[in-house]
Formats: sequence, C-alpha cells, structure tokens
Amino acid sequence: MLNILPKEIRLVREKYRLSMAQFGTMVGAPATSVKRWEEDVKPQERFFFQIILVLGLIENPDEIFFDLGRQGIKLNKKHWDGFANLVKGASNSLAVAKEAGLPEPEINSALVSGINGLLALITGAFAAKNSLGTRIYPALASKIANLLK
Amino acid sequence: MPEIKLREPDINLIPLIRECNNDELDNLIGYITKKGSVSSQIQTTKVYQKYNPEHVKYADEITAEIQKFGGNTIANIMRCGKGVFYKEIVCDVADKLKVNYNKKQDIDFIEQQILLKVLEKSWEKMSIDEKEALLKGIMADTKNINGYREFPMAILQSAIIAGGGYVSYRLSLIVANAIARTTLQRGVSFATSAALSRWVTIFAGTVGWGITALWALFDVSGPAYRVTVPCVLHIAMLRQLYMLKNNMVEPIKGGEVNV
Repeated sequence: MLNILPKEIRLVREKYRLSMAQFGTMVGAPATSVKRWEEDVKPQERFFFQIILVLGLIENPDEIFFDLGRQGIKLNKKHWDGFANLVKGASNSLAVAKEAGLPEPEINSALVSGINGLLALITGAFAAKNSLGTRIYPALASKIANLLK
Repeated sequence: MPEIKLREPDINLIPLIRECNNDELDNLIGYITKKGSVSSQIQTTKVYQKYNPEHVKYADEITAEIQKFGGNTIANIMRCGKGVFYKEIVCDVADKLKVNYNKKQDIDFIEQQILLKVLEKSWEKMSIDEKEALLKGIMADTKNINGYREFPMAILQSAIIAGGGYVSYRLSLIVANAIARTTLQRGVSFATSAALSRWVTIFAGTVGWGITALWALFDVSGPAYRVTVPCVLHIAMLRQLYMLKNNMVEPIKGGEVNV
C-alpha cells in the first residue's frame, strides 16, 4: 500500500478534480505535503493512516461504517448517510456524466464536504465513547486518536 | 460475486460454510446479527433481505462478514475492503486464551485446543456428577471420578486421538451448545440424537459459566470478540461434524452416550 500511495493520491485528485490544498484539508496537511507525497516522500504515520482512511471513505463510505461498527464505534446511520451520500453522489455524478457524454460536473467541493463530515462523525463518536470510558480495541483507539487530533 | 468482499482462497472456512445447511448456519447468523451487538453489514445486503432465513443462499456473505470481524478498519481498507483469513481469527482467539499451539498446526487441532481450554475453565465449577457424565460420555470405561480433581487435559487429548472424530465432535458440541445458550438463549438443534442432546445439555450451565468467565479476557480487546469467539466455537463444531460426515460416518449414531 505504501508503494502505491503516491499513485493512489494522484489518481483520486485527478478523478475528482481536487486541488492539492483540497486533498490536504481532508487529511489535515498543507498542499506542500500532498505535493511531496505524490513525489514519493513517505508520509508521517499519523498522516499515513488518515490518507488511508480518506481514500477508503472516498471509495466506499459504507464499508468504513460497518468496519468501525465491528470495532464498537457506533455512528448515527442517518447522519452518516447524509454525508456519505455527498461522497457517493460525487462518484455517481462523474459516472453519469461520462455515460451521457456531458462535461464533468464540479463535484470536488461536495466530496470534500462529505469526507470532512464523515471524519467529524467518526471523531465525535470516538470522543463520546472515550468520555464514557467505554473500552475500545487499544491499537485502533490510538490510531484513530492520532489521526483525528 | 458476494455483496461483502470475500477474502479468498480461505480453505479453512469458505468450503465448510458452503457445505452447511440452514440449521447449521442459523446460530452463526444469530451471533453476527444479534440485537444490541456490533453492527452487521450482512443485514443490509440484497441477498439477505431477499432470502433470509435461507442462510445457504448467502453463505459467502456470512464468511466475508466473519473474516471482516477479524480485521480493523485501517487494515481492512489496505486489504481492499476484505477481512482476514479465518485461521488468523482462530489463532487470535487461541492467543487470548493462552492456548498452547503452533500456527503451523492444522486449524482443527487449534480449534480443539480452544475447546479444551473452555472446558478446563468450566471444570472447577462442575459437580462430581457433571464431571462423571462428561468423562463417561467420552470414555465409557471411566472409573474413579474422584481421581480427576484437576482437568484431565492429557487424558482427553488421548481420547480425541483415539476417538476417531466422535470425541472431538462431542466435546465441540458441548461448547457450541453452551455458548449458544449463553449468547442466543437457545442451543444447537441439529445432528444430535436424543441421548446425545440430553447429555450435551447437562453441561450448558457450567460450561456457560466458564465461557462467561473467559469473556473478561476478551472485553478489553474489543467488541468484535463478542462475535468472533462464539463463531469460532460454533465453526469448530461444524468442522468436526463435517469431518465425520465426509468420512461417511453418521454423527448421531456415533456410539452410545452413557449418562
């Protein structure tokens, strides 16, 4: 995964017409970092996990919903779907436009909003769990805590 | 193509689950979809919504869901949305229980050691009558029960080897039945004669207690174990059942149970 990460980032940015700054806002890093990652510079661990999470959310937000649920991080499905639909809608719009031979729609802002919303929900659910003292798989807890702080 | 991404080729799980009938899969579905448990993806699949309770129609989705319970979010994303191979889940449970095994050993051996560990934990709570029933059900010529203050691990290991599959199946049935009663408030309802069923039920309470005591080891490690541990214990029983069936041996006629 680490080897293909620069390519993955570039492909996603190109597909959704995301600027380096926009991709950076989703992973909490400046545009210059995104540029370096695309040039094969290895991201720091906390960025690495957040990049993986963001790429996963873009590809299939519902999978992440259930993966987190299996580890005890329960999220409000209605809220999740609200933001996930922005992400899925972006992908669907591109596919439909391509099929109909229409110009590509401007969906990058919607995608960024959707991803940021999903990340906020994950953070919120995680914080709520912690404040209640609920036990969470420790390795996952530390990774999520790191990548979302 | 399954609606939940399947990790293939998982020779220790996929063929077994595909072989099972609806009754045999019913408790697995129970563990995965139990109300109040962690969220289950299988209930959102079209095939489940269309065919439930015909579990054989979505056997691969059941396998995929179990595989995904063994992973974590980041690792699953890195595996392109797939979970882990089943043996990793079994070894993980064995590690937590401090079972003596080697990862290179066959999965049925590791599963047997897990079952014995559960029984060992339950042994101290068993009455003399229960201990006697357990040992006589496995080794009909058992005498002098008072001699077994400690869990007779070595004797049971020998009985498993000598028992040609019956002993393993019976032990796995005791544990699978107990975890089903503890977790789902129902036992296993297939492939048992009336005598075997009665014998298995004797231990439901004490083995259930042993399992409850073991939960403490898993609770700190994550809620996914609430699903994977019962699944591992049930699948261990299914594997023993199909080993007998595939050797053309009828499990419910496998010797008399002396209780």
